[in-house]
Amino acid sequence: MPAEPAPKPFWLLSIDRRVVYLFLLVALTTPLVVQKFTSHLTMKPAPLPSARKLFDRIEQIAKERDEAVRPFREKRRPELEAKLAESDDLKKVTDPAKRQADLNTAVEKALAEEVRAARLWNKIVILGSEVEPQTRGELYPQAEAVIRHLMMRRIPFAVMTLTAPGVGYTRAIPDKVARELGRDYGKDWANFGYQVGGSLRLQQMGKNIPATLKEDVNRTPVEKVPCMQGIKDAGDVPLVIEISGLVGTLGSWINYFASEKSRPDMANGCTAVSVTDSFAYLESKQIVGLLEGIAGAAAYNEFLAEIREPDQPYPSAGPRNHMTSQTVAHVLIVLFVALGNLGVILAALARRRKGAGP
Amino acid sequence: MSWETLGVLTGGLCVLGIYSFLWKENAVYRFFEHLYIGVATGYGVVLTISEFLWPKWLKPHLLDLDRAAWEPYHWVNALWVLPALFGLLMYFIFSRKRSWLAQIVIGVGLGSSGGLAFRGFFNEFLPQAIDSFRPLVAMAPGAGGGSLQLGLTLENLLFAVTLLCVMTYFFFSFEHNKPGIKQASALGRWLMMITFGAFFGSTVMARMALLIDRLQFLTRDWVRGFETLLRGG
Repeated sequence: MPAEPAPKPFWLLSIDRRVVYLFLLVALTTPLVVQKFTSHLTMKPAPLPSARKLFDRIEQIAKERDEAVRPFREKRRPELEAKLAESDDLKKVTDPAKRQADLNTAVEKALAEEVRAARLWNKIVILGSEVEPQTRGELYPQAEAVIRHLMMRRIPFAVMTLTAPGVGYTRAIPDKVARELGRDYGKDWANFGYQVGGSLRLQQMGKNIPATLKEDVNRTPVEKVPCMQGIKDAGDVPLVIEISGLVGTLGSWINYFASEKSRPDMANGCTAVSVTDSFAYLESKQIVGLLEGIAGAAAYNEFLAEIREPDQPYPSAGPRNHMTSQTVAHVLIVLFVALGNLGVILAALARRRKGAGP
Repeated sequence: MSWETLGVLTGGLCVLGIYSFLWKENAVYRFFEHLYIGVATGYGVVLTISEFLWPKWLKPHLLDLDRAAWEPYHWVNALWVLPALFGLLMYFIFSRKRSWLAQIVIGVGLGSSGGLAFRGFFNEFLPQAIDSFRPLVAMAPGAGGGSLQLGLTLENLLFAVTLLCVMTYFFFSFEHNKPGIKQASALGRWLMMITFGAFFGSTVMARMALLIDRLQFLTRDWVRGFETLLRGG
């Protein structure tokens, strides 16, 4: 007796997966291509509260620093203005407005140097950057946004990585932002590259930073890197920002990076896959802020645009464009999930009508 | 053609080769898969040597080569070879007679990891356990006890219900057929299902982000690479 042919599956349940991929590709690519011709079709990213917390913490550090150096600046400013106004270069400028602007720039630069030399605010932010090729899509924009913020506010920071593939990005990202904002290596940031030893290395660093790091990537001793002068242990670090797709590295910083008397604030930038793990740290206030995947980077860039000085470039539009593409794709995926479920329900109803049971 | 342009054009070909798997399993995909694994392994080995073994161990401690001016050499530095020799005992694991030597290294590793994990456990999970004790009626701070914070109260209630129900689901010391326990366990399972849905949603979001990064590379850098090539750059 010939076998009964298998019943034809309901059409909604038998769509070739490649058709779904094709729809997804079109949904993702169309906004990217359109954005090449017009910037009006991008969507403003949601202002994520967890990203705002990190932004506010960095702003607070900048305010603390400004408060610490204010008396010195107020005392030195008139003296420097009087001294620099007599310089030959400024006397040559005939336009009074331009002359005043040039004088202000020169005074600010000289004041920054004197403040640094006087070591009135001896602190450094540490950026643990585990940006790797496989997480670059989400973590590169996060690292860029945070570094931009630190450089905009001239908060000195040290960057390092606990994973070998991250070493190229510890150099490339700060160099790129420094070129845009005119910042100097050594004065505004230091790069300590790849640090081997994981938790043990962090534990040593917490107790004695110069003895553990020893030298930067250019083989300059820690004590001779200007922004690291006077930095002793974790007590001199107001904030550690750990940008990583690995949940374990954030745990290592939280658990082991502390001095005998103090533990710095921690913040995290993570991939969307690991965001559910990082939320536990945020809820229990073990971290003060969180960048959630590319959405976190896009929201952070919006905050940066609000504090941008007129002579500073706009933060990259990349994360915002990225989020627009992602939003379109998410809507499509929701639609496909709804259609798939509808297919299951309609197929069950059809079987029931034929009396074949549910 | 510059090395940079060549790198970008080759990178684009690699991306397309890997994504050809979406059509079906094929030889091009397998070639690029093996290429990727080989490159990643080689990159890791070279970086470990160039970023750690050579500059931070061999050069400063064992060899008096290319030393920085600030770094005086002393023969005591040579003693740093001892921890490495101790670590190399691990390779006796391949010897039937001398495998006990490898067990010493494993024992030291387990002991130090255990000690670190013990400290890490308390630092990491105690704050989270303490944070789970939340007021079920949240009041805003203020004179006379302050006013009721409805949103926070509901959030804390949901948190407490989820915590208790999920923990009940994982109590396997008694059967889950008693009134109250049965319903709490079932609710715990549903709440976990919702959490797994959120996990999956964030995983999809992460994968999309990586795909968009590659599409941005193809539509921007790769196209620009071709333009440079056509201009003879």
